Amino acid sequence: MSEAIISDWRLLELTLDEIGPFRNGPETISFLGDTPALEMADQPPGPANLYMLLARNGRGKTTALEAMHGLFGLLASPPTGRFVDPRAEGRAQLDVRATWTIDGRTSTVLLSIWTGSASPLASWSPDRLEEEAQASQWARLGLARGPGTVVPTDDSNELGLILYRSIKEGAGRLSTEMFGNAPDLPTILLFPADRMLLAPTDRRTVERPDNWIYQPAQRFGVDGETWNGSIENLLVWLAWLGEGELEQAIAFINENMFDRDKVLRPPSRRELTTYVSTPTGNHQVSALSHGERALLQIYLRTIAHMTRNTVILIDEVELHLHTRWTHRMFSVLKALVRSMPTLSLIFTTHDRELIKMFDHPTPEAGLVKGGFLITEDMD
Amino acid sequence: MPKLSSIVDTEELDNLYADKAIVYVEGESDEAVFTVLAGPDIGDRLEFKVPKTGGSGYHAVRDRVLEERGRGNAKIHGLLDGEASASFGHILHLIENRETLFQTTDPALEGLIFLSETELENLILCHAGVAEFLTNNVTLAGIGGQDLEAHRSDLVSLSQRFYLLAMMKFAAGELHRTGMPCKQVDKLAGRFQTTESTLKITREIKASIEKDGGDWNAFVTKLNELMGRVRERFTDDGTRPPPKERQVRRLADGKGLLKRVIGKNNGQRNWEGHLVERLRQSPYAADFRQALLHETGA
Repeated sequence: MSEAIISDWRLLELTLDEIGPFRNGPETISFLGDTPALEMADQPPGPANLYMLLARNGRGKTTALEAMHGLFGLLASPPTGRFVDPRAEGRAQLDVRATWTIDGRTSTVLLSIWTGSASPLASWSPDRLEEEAQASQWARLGLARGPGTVVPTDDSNELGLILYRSIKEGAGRLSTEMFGNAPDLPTILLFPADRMLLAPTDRRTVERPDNWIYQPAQRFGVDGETWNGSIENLLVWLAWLGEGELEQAIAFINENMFDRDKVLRPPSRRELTTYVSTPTGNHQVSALSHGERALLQIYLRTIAHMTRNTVILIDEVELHLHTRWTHRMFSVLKALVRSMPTLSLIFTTHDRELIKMFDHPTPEAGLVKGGFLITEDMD
Repeated sequence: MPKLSSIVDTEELDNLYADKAIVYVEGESDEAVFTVLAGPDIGDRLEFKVPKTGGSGYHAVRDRVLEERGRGNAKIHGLLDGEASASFGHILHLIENRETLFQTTDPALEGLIFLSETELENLILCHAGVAEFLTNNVTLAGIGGQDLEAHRSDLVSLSQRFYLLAMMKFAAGELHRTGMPCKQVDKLAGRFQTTESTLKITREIKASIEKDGGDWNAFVTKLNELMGRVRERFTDDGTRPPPKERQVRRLADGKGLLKRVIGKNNGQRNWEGHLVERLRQSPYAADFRQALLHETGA
């Protein structure tokens, strides 16, 4: 059986119809960049790796993020996200340009993954495929939802099914490395606006965290209610593995999160608890401020769960954060995007200062900036 | 749904995202005063801004408003001194206006709102009770020692002087737009701060215009035409202050007049802050706010 090895992964378009506020016929959000990276200033920007989605409340930006997560969530084991319910309304299609190697042959493919209809919402003619997607083949993967099942639709083709099988086989596989070093399969990490980091209340034990596996889509909302889904368990597990990941993770957090006044320490093996050293003593992670916990959640979940082909979705990126911390986190995320050629970040914000700081017309090294403003007159 | 590539800069994006009336003004002091006058509870509907690009002055505001409105954001406006309408060729509109704020029907000025007064300083001179302020601006020992009527009378007299200056500037501006070089009034405007008679200053302006090859008669004709249009509004309607005093102070050269009033009374520039506070407490502030919300549709 053929298996796809993916070496590039870029979102091109999201098309939504009859979902949330998208009610006036299919609406398409393009993820092509608006501003090329500084070093590529004389070339068309191509797909964005740093993308800002703006809208007033209730205009559909959260819907768009959840739709992207939900489409790949249908491939997860078990399926997850907004489309899992067979009664979920509407149609959605995500178009991704990917470079695949199948049976030793590498090609650039446009993958359309959709749900809610038998056929794709948006079609790619050969001309469009070549000019807009710069792809040589169109992989189609429609996903039909039934009670407890997700199956490819008849309009899917063999290329789409190869990806389907690859992801299904990979889903659930144990993670082994951090910072996107494994595996090749794509993943979408969603940080919704209702995210928060709680202290686990159940018994602490040394056991593998539930989500320390490959999944094509993961959501980090209320994080840590249970020990098996908590960041503290993740840190304990990394300490237990003793393969260096814990030291990398802690160094990353301390470098990017604290102003030297605080230091995240390795977990106490005796207590299975992680402490932060502060000028006033050692405090548990759960005693950090809301803002610090928000940063910790995004930083740690990102570096722990990203694969080589990752799209990070952050709804209301400034949530819980003082404006200085928002800017600092944004700088860290930009650095992460720069350092990982196949990482993309899509975020929403209501922070007008951050919108200005994003500075969409100004090229920056390693960043292809793009964005979209969902307005009332969606025509 | 716009892609960001269709949005020229971060300011335009910010305005589109804010999705409320954006009112560009000339400078930060205008922004501060108008914000005070409009009151603290309109932030969800309206916001003042100074253009970050395109230079300064009336033209920067006009260009920015036209640019953003041209790309489809009808919530973009500009709020300028009344004299800006004159510089854009609408002096008669300024003279004849009876509203708190006004717009012209000129498509090239779409979105621009003008004060009914020549400058922001005229708002203070017309509505902040300057004579009362001067009467009360005394030490404990000086209370009762100031003559309110004397201050009012002085203000009327000084207003006439700086009204003449403003009308000369407007006349010069009108002629300048027809191609006649007429910068002499601006060059000699500082003379109105002295104690020289207006007759003597007028003679100096005449000499300067003729020396530069200008047409003094054309200047006088235009000046008389404009002042005649203002005089048509002098009909006594029984209101206080009388229409003549009101129109003269509204259309006077506000910066020059306020500077002279402060200087003559040994005041400091920081009096302006106190006077703006009096303006905020005056009935004009409510009129301004209502007119602004009406004109912007906010």
